[in-house]
Amino acid sequence: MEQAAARLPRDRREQTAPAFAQPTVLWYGVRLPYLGLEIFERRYPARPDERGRPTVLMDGKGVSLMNVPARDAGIALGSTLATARSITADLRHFNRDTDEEQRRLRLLAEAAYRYSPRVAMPAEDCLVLDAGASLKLFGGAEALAASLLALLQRLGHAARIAAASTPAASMVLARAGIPNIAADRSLQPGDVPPTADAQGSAGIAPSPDAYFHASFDALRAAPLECAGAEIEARDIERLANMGIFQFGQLLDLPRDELGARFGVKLQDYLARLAGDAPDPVRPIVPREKFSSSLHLIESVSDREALLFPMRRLVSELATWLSAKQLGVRSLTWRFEPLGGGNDGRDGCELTAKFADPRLDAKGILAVSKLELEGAEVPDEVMSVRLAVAAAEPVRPDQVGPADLFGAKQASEGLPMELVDLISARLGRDALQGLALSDDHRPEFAWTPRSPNAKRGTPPEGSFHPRPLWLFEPPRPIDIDHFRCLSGPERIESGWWGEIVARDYFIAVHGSGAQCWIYANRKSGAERRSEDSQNAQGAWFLHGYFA
Amino acid sequence: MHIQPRLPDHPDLWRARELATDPNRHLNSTNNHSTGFDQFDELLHGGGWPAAGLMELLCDVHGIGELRLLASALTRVSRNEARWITWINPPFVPYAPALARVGIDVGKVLVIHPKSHREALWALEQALKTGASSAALAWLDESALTTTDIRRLQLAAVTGRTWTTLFRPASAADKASMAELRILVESEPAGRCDRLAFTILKRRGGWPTSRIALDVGHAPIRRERTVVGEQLAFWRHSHANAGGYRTAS
Repeated sequence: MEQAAARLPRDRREQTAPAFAQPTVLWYGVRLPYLGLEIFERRYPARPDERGRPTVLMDGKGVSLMNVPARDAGIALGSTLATARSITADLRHFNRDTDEEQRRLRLLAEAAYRYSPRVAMPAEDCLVLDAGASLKLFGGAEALAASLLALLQRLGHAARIAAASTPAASMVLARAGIPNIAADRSLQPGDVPPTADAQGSAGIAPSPDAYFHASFDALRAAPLECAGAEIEARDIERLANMGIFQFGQLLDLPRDELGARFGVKLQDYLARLAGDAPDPVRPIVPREKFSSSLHLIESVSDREALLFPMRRLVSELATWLSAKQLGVRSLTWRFEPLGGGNDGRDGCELTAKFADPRLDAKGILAVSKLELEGAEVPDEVMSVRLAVAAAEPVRPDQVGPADLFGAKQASEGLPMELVDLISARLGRDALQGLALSDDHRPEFAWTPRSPNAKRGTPPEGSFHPRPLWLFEPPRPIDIDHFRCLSGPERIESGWWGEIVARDYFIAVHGSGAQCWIYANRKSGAERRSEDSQNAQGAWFLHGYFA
Repeated sequence: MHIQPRLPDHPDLWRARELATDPNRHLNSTNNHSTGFDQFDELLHGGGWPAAGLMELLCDVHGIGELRLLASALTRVSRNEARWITWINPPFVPYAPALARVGIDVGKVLVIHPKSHREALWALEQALKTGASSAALAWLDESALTTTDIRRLQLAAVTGRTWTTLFRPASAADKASMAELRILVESEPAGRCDRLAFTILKRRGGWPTSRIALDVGHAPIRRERTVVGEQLAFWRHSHANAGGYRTAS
């Protein structure tokens, strides 16, 4: 058991470093203090004037969560809505939606999957991830935490991160708001919801080992309320009556006797907290398919305003893609009108296709935006859904950053972003690549090709002179206006389909243009069957030697 | 820290030598695409077509060698760069076997057929500013094209480092344009099809030139004139007998 192998810091102090280090275990506890409110913020298109409005989250027992303006107004946790309203009239309130919170937490856990294969959601407000094996890749514990925080912030969540040697301890520290990671600055000091008071700072610790020392010292100072649901409220009260308020006090007591008095659950919890017993957190497995929807609280009739929920969904998609190391080939957007399409008004579905697997949010959004411009979107959109129709693994070189000029470096492929952009706006038919095909008949010697098709080895080009411009179809001409320079080149082929029997000449027109003209003749088979005197044809212009 | 070594390559960086009339400027061909005609390269700033910028070819008649003028540089660009050669709204079909014969990699040719002038402008600007095209050739609706559009295209071409050629009718010579190079291309009055005449109307680091004849070569002709004559006589004879070909005009 790796958890068991990670000894407590006190034991480690005497140990010397092992000759070859097994992967360090370093658990990050990520607490999302405002998750309940943020899922509602997410549904609202952000309005600057609503940022500072006091907002509370109600559950059956009263106010369960509030934002900073509400707290500043003096609203207390657990008070009724009527009380809260009497304090500030300009109050927004939402009813708690635990299902949605869990869905969101699950999505964030999947987003965090890019940092570690072991991400779990053992409590309803916390994620834990074991990043010990990823530290080197992400440039150390601080850099990883900063990157994780930035990711969560991009997805619209404030978070607190703490590092510890066991998942239980990391969660306690994250709840206590004890910043033992320097990067944990996303919340201003005043922003911490009043679940716990930070008791002290362990300072900045440079190595995982140091985190263990620091986290252990910090853990001792954390109040017992930070245990979440692990210690029952009744027991916390009993312990408080005994004068035990902090984990340090509790951990100093003999554990067996505590177990006899408070039950084996507390005993087990303390053992897991201290790392003496294994803590088998169940890591999440990312979903195989991506589908996410946003239900808007107010209907949106403006396309520009639709971009806001779309951007949110795309950034979720991008985190999913990067966790799964996939690139998207095809996407489906669905816009549902007011009433969900039940009253005869149908939603609209858009498909965005990509020539190359894409995983950058910016590019995906740009193509989706162009698709949206040409689409018939319902007047009143109430919900937006994004699903991945096709995704495929990406090569490592496609993941790398674009260079200074936006073009991918060291990639043999042609820039497919242009193809995606143009075909999203002008339609797929507007784009054409060229390919050679092995045929003597001039109009069949080339074929249009889909620009994203794989290129085969081209057949040998013709050694005969060919014009750079070709007329399709050939134009009838009066031969008197042309002066022939060279020819003829006889082309007779296509007995299996369109028979071509022509003599080609290079000629110059009165205007100075060099032309490729031909005269139709009867094919050999036709001539044999008919009177050879009737071998005749009209003249056509087939191209310009531009 | 990665930016510094690349800074000298950045398209927005202006260098004084861009305007200097350096006698050896045509030797400095690192920036621009050589045209393949020494006589021409000497006249052009940087020794060739602008690798990042907009040029105009003013030409009324198709088929006088206007593409052959660009072919040599297009060939080199298609070999050296993994970017598209974008053709927007070409008047005819760019014929793949002929392009391949010249040496252009047809797999890198992207032909766009917009339905309107607005779409064409948009597509061209995207092709330029995304940096996805090494070269772009565009035929736009002359009646709807404004000076502002050309200015935008010029900026986009510089941003995306794209050699952009705009084909316009000769009548556009009187209109102001922000393109950095404008060339009027005409056929030789003598009717020699291996030559064309060009007049540089505007160029960087130099004055407009008078009309200059350029030998663009005529690779296609291989046969003797006499053979042509015989064949032609045969055809005229057989057509006269059939009596039908003159109905087609």
